[in-house]
Amino acid sequence: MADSEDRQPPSSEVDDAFEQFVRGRSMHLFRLALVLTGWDQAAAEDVLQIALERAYRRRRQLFRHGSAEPYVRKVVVNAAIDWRRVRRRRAEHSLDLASDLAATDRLGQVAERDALVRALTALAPKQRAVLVLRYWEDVPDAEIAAALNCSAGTVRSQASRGLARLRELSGDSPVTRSAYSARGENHE
Amino acid sequence: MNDLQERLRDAIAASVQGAAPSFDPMTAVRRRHRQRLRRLAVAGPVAVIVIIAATVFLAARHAPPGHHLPVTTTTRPGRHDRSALAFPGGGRLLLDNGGVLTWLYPDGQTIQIPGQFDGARVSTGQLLAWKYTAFGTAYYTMTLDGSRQRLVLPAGHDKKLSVIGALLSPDGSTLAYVRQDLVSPAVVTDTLWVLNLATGHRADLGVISNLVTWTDSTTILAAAPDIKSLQLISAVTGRRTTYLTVSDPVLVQAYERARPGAGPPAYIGSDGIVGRGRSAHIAVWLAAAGNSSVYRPAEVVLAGGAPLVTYAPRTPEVLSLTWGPDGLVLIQTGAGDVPGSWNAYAATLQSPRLSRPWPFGMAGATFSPAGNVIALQDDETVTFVSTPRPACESTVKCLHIQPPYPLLTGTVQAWIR
Repeated sequence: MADSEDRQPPSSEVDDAFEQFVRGRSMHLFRLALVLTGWDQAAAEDVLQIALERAYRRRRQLFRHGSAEPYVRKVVVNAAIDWRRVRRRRAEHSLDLASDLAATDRLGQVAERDALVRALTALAPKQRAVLVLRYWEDVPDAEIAAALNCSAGTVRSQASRGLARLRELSGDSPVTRSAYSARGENHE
Repeated sequence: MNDLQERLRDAIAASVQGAAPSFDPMTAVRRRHRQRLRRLAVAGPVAVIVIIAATVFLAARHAPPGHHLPVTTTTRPGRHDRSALAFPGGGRLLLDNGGVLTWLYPDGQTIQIPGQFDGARVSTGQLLAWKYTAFGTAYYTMTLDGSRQRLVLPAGHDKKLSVIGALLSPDGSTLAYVRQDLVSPAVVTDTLWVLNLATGHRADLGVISNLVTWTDSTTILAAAPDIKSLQLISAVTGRRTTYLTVSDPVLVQAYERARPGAGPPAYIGSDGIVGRGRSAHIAVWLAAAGNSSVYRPAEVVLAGGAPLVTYAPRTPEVLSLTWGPDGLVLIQTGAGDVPGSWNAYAATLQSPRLSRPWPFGMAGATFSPAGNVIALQDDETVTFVSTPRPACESTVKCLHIQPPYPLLTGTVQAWIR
């Protein structure tokens, strides 16, 4: 393209920016992957590496306009969802609840948190991603929609359904399960 | 933010407190990248060998009697050897593999589109491709082989808006797209825009809920913001004409017959139109109002304004229709991400009867150009199944692909002749 926006910054600048990004954001992205993979350390590490390696390949484009975080977050979210689906389909492990969570809870006194986290683990991968991005990461709906390749309306309906399901699973209140949701949008 | 949302935030934060990867991320990334380059270095020559072998094999199969190439010793002439084919169904597939778009032919030949793109669709003999950037999606047009690439819709510079669902008009002159504006953390508006590719002029055509398709080179079919009607919107003047409403007696009757006891439909959408004029068929999606949102959707196909067939399978949380050639359709339904709930059924416009379902296709489906093979997309895997009888009888030839079904890695973007 002849567009001036497409002029590439020098490669050393890009590499520095990428390294700074990785040093600064890896911890948080790893934690995001950890939550999305159901607190599976190995899977989260793999997801993080996949996301960062993809970003590394595209570092010139990503750092041209600023932060690479939306792109890397998108890859983390989708790689985690893919990983969950494959795992479910292959039925290698039970995904009913995160059974190890109570043991790893160092204080052993946050039963409610534990219940919520267990409930979150039991949600469908995409629904969980919506809740995590919306309520933990504070990502705007439009950005979540872009990350998940769906409409903002779908994000809102998934969030609403997810919270209702979370209440039900965590015993928060006797809410009747909302069985149906808005129609999913075609993916691009 | 309500109490549950705050407690959820606290619970997640507490659950990951102190968690850290067991490796140095920068070192791991560089190592992984080197491994990838090594794999590619090995895969390149292997791919060349496979392509040469496949080409020689196919040449031998189609050689005139008495003319034999040496490689025929490995196969029996005239006998179908599926392993030699990259995929069944003929034509050529446009696949996305990790940002690389490649045309794949049944004999294994490939043509790679230059540059990195995250997806593409074929439209009027050209490609509309897109790539995700830190600031949203950028759209490019190009020829089918990837030459003459042109950035037609750059990504935004503001995280408060994004562009989705761009579609080229049938004459290739105009791009329609949906701009999502973040009004507040809870409010996003979807606005239909058109971009004249010759002049660069953009026009705001107002709020919609869903962009369906171009019906001709100046008219767009979209769902109204309240999801109660389908509208035809002029790309030139922006004038809107109601095309169908959810309260149309014809639709209400068809829906109530398909979903007894669900009451009248409350929402309307469309999975597109095939054909033109009087021979046009439109797939209309209808659903009733439930406690929280929508439920019991059905697809009604109208021909000349009259219902032709209605599909109403079970597990009705998500329902979509994919058009195939010669009156073939694929109906897909499921309960969100719930495993085992996702089903894809082949059908024809002649009957509401559905085939036995396949548990694949969560991320989409594409018919082969002849319609006798269907590519079902799940994550990064493509599963090929043959269109079953009686649906396949409208195609040139019914094929019989038995499990285990052939697989490909990648995401199908298009399948053309």
